[in-house]
Amino acid sequence: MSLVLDRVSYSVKDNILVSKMDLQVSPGEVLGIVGPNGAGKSTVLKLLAGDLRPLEGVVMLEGNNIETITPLQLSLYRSFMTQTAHIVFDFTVREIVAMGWVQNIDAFTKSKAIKEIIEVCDIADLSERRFNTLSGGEQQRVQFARNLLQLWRPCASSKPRYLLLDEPTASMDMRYELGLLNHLRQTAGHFIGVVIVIHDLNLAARFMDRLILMNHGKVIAEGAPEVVLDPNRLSDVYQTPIKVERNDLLDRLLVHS
Amino acid sequence: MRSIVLLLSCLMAQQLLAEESCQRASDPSRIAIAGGSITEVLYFLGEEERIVAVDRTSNFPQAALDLPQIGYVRGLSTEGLLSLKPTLVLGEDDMGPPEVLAQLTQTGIDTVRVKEVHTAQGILNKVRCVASVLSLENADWVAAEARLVSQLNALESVTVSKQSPTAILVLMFQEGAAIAGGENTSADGMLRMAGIKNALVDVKGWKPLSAESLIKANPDYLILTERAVSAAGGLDKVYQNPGVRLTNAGKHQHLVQMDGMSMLGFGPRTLSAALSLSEITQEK
Amino acid sequence: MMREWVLPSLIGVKFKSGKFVGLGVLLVASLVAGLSQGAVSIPLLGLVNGSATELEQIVFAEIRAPRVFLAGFVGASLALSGAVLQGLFRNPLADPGLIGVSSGAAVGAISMIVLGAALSIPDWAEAYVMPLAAMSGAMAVTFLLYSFANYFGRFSVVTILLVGIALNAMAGVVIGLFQYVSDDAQLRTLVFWLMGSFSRAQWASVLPAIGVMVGASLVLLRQVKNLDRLQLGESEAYYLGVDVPRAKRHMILCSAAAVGAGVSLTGIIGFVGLVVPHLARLFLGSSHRLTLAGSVLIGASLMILADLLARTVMVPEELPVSLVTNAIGAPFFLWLIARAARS
Repeated sequence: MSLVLDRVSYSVKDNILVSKMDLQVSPGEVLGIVGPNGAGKSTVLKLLAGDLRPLEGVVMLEGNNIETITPLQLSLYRSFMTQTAHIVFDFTVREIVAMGWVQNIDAFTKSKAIKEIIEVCDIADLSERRFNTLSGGEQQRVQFARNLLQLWRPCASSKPRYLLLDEPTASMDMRYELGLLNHLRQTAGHFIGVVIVIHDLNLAARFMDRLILMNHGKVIAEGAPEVVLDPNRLSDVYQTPIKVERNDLLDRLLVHS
Repeated sequence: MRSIVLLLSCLMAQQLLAEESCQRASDPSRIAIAGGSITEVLYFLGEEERIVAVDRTSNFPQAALDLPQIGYVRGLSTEGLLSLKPTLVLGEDDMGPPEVLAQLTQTGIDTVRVKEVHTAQGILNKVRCVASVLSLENADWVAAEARLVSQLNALESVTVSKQSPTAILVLMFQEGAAIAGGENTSADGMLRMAGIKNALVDVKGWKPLSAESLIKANPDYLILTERAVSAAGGLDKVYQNPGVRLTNAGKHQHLVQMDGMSMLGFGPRTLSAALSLSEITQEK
Repeated sequence: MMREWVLPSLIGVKFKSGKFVGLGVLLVASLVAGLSQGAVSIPLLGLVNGSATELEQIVFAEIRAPRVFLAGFVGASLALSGAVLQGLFRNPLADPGLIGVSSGAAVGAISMIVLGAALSIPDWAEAYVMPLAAMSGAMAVTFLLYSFANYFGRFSVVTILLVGIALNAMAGVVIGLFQYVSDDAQLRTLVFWLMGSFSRAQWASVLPAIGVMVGASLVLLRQVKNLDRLQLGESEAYYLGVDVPRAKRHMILCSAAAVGAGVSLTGIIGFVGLVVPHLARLFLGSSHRLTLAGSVLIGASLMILADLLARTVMVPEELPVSLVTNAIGAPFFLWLIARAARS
């Protein structure tokens, strides 16, 4: 049970963005993808989402080639939080969240689900406001809620689903950033596999079960954060001296330069 | 069932519409007119009392301008027309749109399209047609008809030959170009009637002419509508136009100005206009 | 706990239904006004109890009724197409005229006006050949638009807008050329046809056009969810399950069909596709379920009333209806821009 990239390559014109990459994520785990700008992280997410077609290799969802799955079917099993685009018309926050509803169930359940998600994501105070009037961070919290709604099921479901996130906290205050990352663990607990592209290595160390370090379209290292975040390796990839320490008091890794 | 009958009669009516006929109208007491020349004919026949409405192209005589309006000859309004309760709709050949004509026929109202031919005989036929629709038989009509026939006879002696002078008829000046009449226009018909050769050869319809084309055509006479002259800013300005100055017409001061509708409307006035024009151009 | 959230959402639904009922009433009122008023005074009661004259019956059934119904359906189609295109292009200024549909229909109709003489069409068929030609023009332009976009390999919104502008310009050239080669009679018919009007409505040509408009509109109305999701972005819509190329195809083709069918009978009527969706959004909300349904109701009412005004304000003459829609639409449009600039 997994979402898999099997020796996948992708390039645009002569630019190789991803090169013969293997990746696997299973429900219940939080997988983080880190690396410098231009490493191919966003491209990997888009390949996992089925948005981009690989030039070589296959993307598999539960053993099926993702290219054989219709957009509608796919939308029931994976959700993707991108960088927020500009929304032209005046929607309320509730309307934006409601757009995440892809199931064919009755309106009663839908209302219940929306209310639940709004509460859980702590955006109840924003729900009647116009989306365009929110700050960047607030808009991201709303988009997160929408993505959760897409994967929501009325009763505990053991059907594997996947949540993909591309730098979901870029504009958020620390409080909300930590809130969202904490939430990912909760989400994973509902039989959901989470893949998140994140640029803050400290947060990656703290919140991810597993990390993949990428550079130039390839996997440089993969495994537990302690393993992947090796100071020499990091310094080489990021082209700047980086130190990694263990803070025993907080029981976490500290990455700094 | 009734709607099927209506639909069929609608289609049939439209077939009948195809034929322009001069059948006498059952009740020609209230007439709505679409076409300036027809209005002219009614006044010429002394039957203007019957007119309840005219269209936008009916601007002669002056009195016609005060009558209720039914719109442009090719863009009539059915309900508007009907609200004036006419018993007969009389119009020029190009009245329209065809859908409105079909609607009028559906309501059972007498609708007559008078055939348009750009010759002196065509004018006579037009007037005769209207007279026949109105069932005119009195002495006034006989006298009027006789007048027209004598004008037609006078024009008959005027024909286009190799010695005929050439001319171009300019309707309007638009953005510096002269809109002139080529083949198959009322202008061409007018020139022929007056015994003048149209200097615009191999041109069909109304076309804008550049100064160069005017010079190349080199007409002996340039005939302009009053509208064209005022648009140019006066006859002097027209003479100064390089396209005009270098033609025979310009060099010999052979510019003629006449009312546009009288020349091109092909109503009774047009016969007189043709006669005047032939007199002006035949005197050498 | 149930009461907490059921009540607010029920009230929300009721409030919106109240507004919809209001719009429904507006439409019915417009219909009644359109059918009962006109240059010829016809007592509606007389029609019902049989005391109306035969002339009044014919005027009502064959001249006024097809006209009012055509106006309603054309208004609804233009507004619906406008709303769909604004959603698809994520541009509040999108309009069926923008992607070249109206121009395409015009080119088709004008070709028929100018070349029709050479084809010796029997007079009785004249009235039907024009609409067919106009619809073909609309579809041809849409097909060209689609092909160009496909050829460039990108079906992006910007590509479509640019190709639409180019096609509009080309249509302008073709129309200009036709104006040049047409003879005087054709030219005047052409110029007159270009100014929108409902005066040419007859059941025989109106009914098929309405059929096309209804069919296309039904497809467009089903695009509600897709349109909402497209607002988040094309990729995001895909992630939410939308088959984006297919949805775009349906939206563009059906807009073209709906608008083309209308333009073929009425000529070009401006501003309705642009302004009515904004009115619907202001009154009901931006969710497309509300905007599309609202556009249909408001568009139909507005057009019936505009046509009523056009044919009664200068009796016995008639104003071209686009004069009325432009007169109302242009100031409203300026107001929209001012409002957007302020916020």
